[in-house]
Amino acid sequence: MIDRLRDRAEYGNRDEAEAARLLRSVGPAVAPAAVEQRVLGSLGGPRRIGPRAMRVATVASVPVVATAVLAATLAVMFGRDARPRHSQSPAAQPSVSSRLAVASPLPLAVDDVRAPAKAALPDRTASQLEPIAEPITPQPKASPGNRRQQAIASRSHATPTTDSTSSMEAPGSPAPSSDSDSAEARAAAAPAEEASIVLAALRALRRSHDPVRAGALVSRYLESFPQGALVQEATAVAIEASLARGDREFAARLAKEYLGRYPSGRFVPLARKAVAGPRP
Amino acid sequence: MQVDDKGRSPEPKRPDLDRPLAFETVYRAYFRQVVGWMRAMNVPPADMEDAAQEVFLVVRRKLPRFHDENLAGWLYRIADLTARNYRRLAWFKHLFARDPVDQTMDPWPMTASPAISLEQKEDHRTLFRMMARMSAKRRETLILFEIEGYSGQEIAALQGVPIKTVWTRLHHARRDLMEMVASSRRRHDREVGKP
Repeated sequence: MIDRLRDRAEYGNRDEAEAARLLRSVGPAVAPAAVEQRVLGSLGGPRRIGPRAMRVATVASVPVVATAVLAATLAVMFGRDARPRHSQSPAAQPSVSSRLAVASPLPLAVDDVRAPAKAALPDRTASQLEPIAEPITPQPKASPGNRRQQAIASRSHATPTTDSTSSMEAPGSPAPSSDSDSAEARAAAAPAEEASIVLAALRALRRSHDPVRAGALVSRYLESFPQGALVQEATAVAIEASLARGDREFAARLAKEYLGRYPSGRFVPLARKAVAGPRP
Repeated sequence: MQVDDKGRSPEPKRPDLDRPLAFETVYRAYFRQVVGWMRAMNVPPADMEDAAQEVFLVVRRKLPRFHDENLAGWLYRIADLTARNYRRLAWFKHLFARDPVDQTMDPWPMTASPAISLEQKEDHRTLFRMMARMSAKRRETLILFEIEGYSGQEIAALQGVPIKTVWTRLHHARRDLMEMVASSRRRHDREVGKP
C-alpha cells in the first residue's frame, strides 16, 4: 500500500518535506453550489449541436460547395449550352424534319402530300440500289480514286461526273411561304424513324460524298415506308445519288417516275434536269 | 465533498445510482468530481464552468445509450476529451483577452478554507506551475491521488489502466516533483547568497 506523501509524518529529505508542504497547501476541488446550480440551469435550454457534429458537417460541406463552385465555373466557361443532346425524348427534340430542311438545301415537298405512292417506284428503286451492309459511319472525303472504286462497286461502272454539291433545286423553283408552312407541318408530322433515315442518306450524300451509301439508305426507306411522309425527299436523294454515281439512265428513270407521280412537286426541276441529261 | 481537518477529502465513494440512470441524478452525484478531474487535466480555472457544461451536455446526449457499469470511467473519458479540446483552443480564446488571466488561480474558492492566506496562495501557484510542466498522465495521477484523495484502484478504474500503471505514473510524478522542488530550492539559495 502506497501512502500519500502529504500524510507522512517523517520525510527523508528537505525536498520531500517541501513537496509535501506544497501538496498540503491545495485542497480538493470544491465547486460552489451556486455554480453547480447555474451549470445545471444552463443545460436545461435547447440542445446545442455538439462541436464534433459541427466539425463533421463543416468538413463534409467543403467538398460539396467546392464541387458546386467548380461545376458552375466550368459551365460558365465552356458549356453555355449545357443541355444534354442524347437524353432528350423524341417529343422534346426539335423537329427532325425541320433539321433536315435546315441542314440541307434539299427543299421539302409542299404539295401532293397525300398522293399515293406508285408501286413501281419503290420496287425499281429497291432493285437498283445496293443494300447497305456495314454500319453507317462517317467516311473520308471522296477522292477521285475513291469515287472510281465506288463507281466500280456500283452497277453503272461509270465515272463520277456530277458535282455532289450541286443544288437539287432548279433555278427559279417556286418556294412560296404558304408552302413552307405546309412543309414544316408535314415534316413535323413525319415519324422520327423516317426522318432519321432520310437525314442519314442526305448526310452520306452531302457530307461523306458517299452516293452508294446514300442510295442504299433511301432504298431502305422506300422499302420500309412506301407511303411515308418523306417519299418525295427520298426520291430526290435517290436521283441525286444516282447522278453522283454516274448512273444517268437510272436517274432519268427515277425522275420520270417522279414527274408522273408528282407533276407539280417541289423537285420537278431536279427531275427534269435528270431526264434531260447533261447539256452539250 | 466533505474534507477533514487536514484539508484532505476522504475516499470518494462510488455513488449507487438506480438504473435507468436519470441525468439529474448523475449530475448531482458527479459534478464536483468532474470539476476535480478537469482541474487535474489542466483545464484553465477561468474555463472550468464552460468546460463542465460541455461535459454534461455530452453526458445528457449520450446517457440513454450508456449501459456499462463503469459510469465514472465513462464520465472521466468524456471529461478528458473535453479538456483536450479546451487546451487546444485555449491559446486562441485568450489571444484577444485584454487582461491575461492567471491560469494558476482558482476563480472559485476550491480549497477547504475560504480564508486563504497569502502564503497559501503563493504555494498553490507554485505547485500548479510545477505540475503544469509534467506529462499529462503523471500530473493527473498525482493530483487525483495526492490532492483529490482517490485510491489507486479508483484511479485505475477511472483511467482504464492496470493498477501497476497507476503506481508507476505516481512514482515518476513524485520524482519529477522532487526534482522541481530541488531546482527551485537551489535557485532560491543562489538568490539569497547561500552556498
